[in-house]
Amino acid sequence: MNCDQIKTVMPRYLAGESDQGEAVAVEEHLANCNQCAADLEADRNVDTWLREAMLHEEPDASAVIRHVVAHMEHVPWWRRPFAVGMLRFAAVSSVLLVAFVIGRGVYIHQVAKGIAVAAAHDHYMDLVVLKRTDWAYSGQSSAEFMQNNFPTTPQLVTLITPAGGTFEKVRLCSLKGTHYAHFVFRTPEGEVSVFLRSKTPGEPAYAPGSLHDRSNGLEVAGFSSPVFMGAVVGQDGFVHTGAIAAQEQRVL
Amino acid sequence: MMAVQQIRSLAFELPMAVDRAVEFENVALPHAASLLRYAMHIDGRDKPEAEDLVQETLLAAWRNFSQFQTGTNCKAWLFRILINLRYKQLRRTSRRHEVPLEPVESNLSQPETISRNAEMRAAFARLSPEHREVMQLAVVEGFEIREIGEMLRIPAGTVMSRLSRARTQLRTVLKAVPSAHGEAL
Repeated sequence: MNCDQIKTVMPRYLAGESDQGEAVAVEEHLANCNQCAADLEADRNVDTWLREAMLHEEPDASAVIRHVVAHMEHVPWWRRPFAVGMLRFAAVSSVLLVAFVIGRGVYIHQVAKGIAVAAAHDHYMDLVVLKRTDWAYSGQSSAEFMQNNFPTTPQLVTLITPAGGTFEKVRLCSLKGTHYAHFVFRTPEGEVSVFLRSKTPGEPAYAPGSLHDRSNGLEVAGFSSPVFMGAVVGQDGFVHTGAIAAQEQRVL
Repeated sequence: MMAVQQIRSLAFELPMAVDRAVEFENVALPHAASLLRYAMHIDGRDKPEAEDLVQETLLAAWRNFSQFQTGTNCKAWLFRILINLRYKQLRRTSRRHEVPLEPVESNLSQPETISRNAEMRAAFARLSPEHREVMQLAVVEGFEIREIGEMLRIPAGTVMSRLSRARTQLRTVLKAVPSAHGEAL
């Protein structure tokens, strides 16, 4: 290396960033060139004095740091809904909501199942075992029954009569402690019971689907309309309770 | 760490933000003094003005801290932001500060040190802004030539040539001053 080349690479050498080959070449030149060695020493002194002048007193940055930290601590209002407290609240709420929805679904399902079982039992006891006699039969007595229990829906019996069926009788019964009107219809497929009551505001609908009471050979299907709740019971394998329940739901 | 504890105690902070705040406090805020020193000397700003620039730098860094890669040189990243903001300010105001030749020294400094440092600062202040910035970044803050080139968006060769000229000018200025500096040079 000559003196001009040394001047070019000297900043890198001074910074300690020269590779081994360059460092060796520089040191060989400096060993034989007093002027470049003196310049290097002078540059080193300049660097040392500049560092001393600039670093002998650390500027006080505490005010800046305080301002920055204060800014870091500030959480904009639009981020607060996503903040920890709200996240915890949201997580707990979500768990409770899921538990509530699942629990409510299970509860509704169990209630519907309980009513269906009770309807099948009532149908079986009323019509097969006990053969109760406190029915209001078609005619004057049934008209009085309907007037007393469903005064706002005079055409109710017609509406809920299964396709191809005829109304036979009706009586009040209790399913799981709740009063229902138990209608009995004769259809080509067999005897059909329709249990019906008014729906209370906000009451959850019965879960769709049929329940089979194998022990008594019965099938039950629940239905819910905006104003009525009910169940259809018939002989399993003969009466399509699901189809009848769907029809009741539509007309009611 | 008090600030970190305060942040941790806030009920309305994101957990991730708390972690990032801790990291920012550990890797970025310790460089505040270096940034302030650079801001004060590069344009001869008074301290409040330099503090504004450093505060703006650190807040910009905090807002964009997600872009900082953990393990890389945070000091270089912060200086790059400060230099960019400084250029932006200079473009906006087109101002150049007159640098005082006799900066105020600390009362705690010894008289000889005052004189030597004052001479050096005065000589440094006479350099062009381009030479001042490479000298301050390389010699005072200890950045590599490659890093300085990236910060200033100039080739490494240009950084080295500016460093050579800056040192030569400093030597010339200090030689002209009858002091210990001049004798040594």
